Amino acid sequence: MNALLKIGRVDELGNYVSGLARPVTDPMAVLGGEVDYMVEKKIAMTWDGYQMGATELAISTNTVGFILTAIFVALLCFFLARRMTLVPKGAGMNFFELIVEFVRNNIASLIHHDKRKYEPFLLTIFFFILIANFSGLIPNTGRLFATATIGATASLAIVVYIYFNYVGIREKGGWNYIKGIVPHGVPGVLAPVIWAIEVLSMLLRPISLALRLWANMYAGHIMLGIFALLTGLFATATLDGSGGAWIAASPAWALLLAVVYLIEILICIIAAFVFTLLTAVYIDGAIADH
Amino acid sequence: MDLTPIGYPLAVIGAAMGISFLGQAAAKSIARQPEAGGTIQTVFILGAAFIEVLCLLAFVLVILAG
Repeated sequence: MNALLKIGRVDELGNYVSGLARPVTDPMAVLGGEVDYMVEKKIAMTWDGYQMGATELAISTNTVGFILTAIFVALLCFFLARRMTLVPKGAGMNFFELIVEFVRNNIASLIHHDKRKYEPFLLTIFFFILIANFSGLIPNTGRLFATATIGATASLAIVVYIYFNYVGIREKGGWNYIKGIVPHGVPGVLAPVIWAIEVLSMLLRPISLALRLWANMYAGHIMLGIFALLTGLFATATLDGSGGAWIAASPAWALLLAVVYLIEILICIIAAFVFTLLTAVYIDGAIADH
Repeated sequence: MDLTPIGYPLAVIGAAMGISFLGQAAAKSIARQPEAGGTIQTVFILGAAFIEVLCLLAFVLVILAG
């Protein structure tokens, strides 16, 4: 996203060479080095100055962004709930009521037994992941994108795992819940084996939740970075006048970048929706068959 | 010998085929019974999310490893 300002790479001596300082005659030839530099630049700084990658677990500036997002969502919902009336009026209130109704109709309706009790948790998760995903799409904020680190998504997945197990134990009692992990109609001899397999598959659930959210956000971010990089390279080739035949392609690249940005917004919403949907399915599975 | 240019497109082909079958079934069943549209849409997005994880894993491994 910073491609138009900082196209460059580090040469053999470790100095940073700006891309705008030299004419770019063939954008495709310099693309490989630029992509490597961009992926390397997605590092964050931890609190004692150590630079970490996207797959390490450490307290970094992304964690600060995550906490700021949490405080922002809490304050927003607090001030919105004060202005709650029976019939919402105004565009802002209607918009948030739309989100609440969407979650209620499509997600909480998957829980058959007691859906009003679990709506606050589902709404919190959905809203929080939505705002955390969107804060990564704002350009030039650098280190605000928390859901692109495996630490943030893993912590959300662990919270969901603890919550649905706690709900199951609270509703059915400890021993009934453990017995209920095995599905119905399994003969008595096979039951311990099926039970072990089911527990293993339940252990896979938070891993897949965390991995799904993280991979969606990280891959989308890199895709956006590559498109922005290409747009910047074509733009410098045009502005320097050294591009030749590449000049004709640069408005098309800018349009393509806008389209990819819109697709990214859609993916942010869908990723939050799928996370909440799977949480509802797991809660429903934990309190089933009364 | 680096087999990434063979492996990664295979992963993408697998994911695309899986989601295409799911989309075809969803479109046909909504055409048969439009009242069940909401449920079918939910099922479709759920299935597509599961399949997409595998494709994104391949993408992330390619970027991180090389």
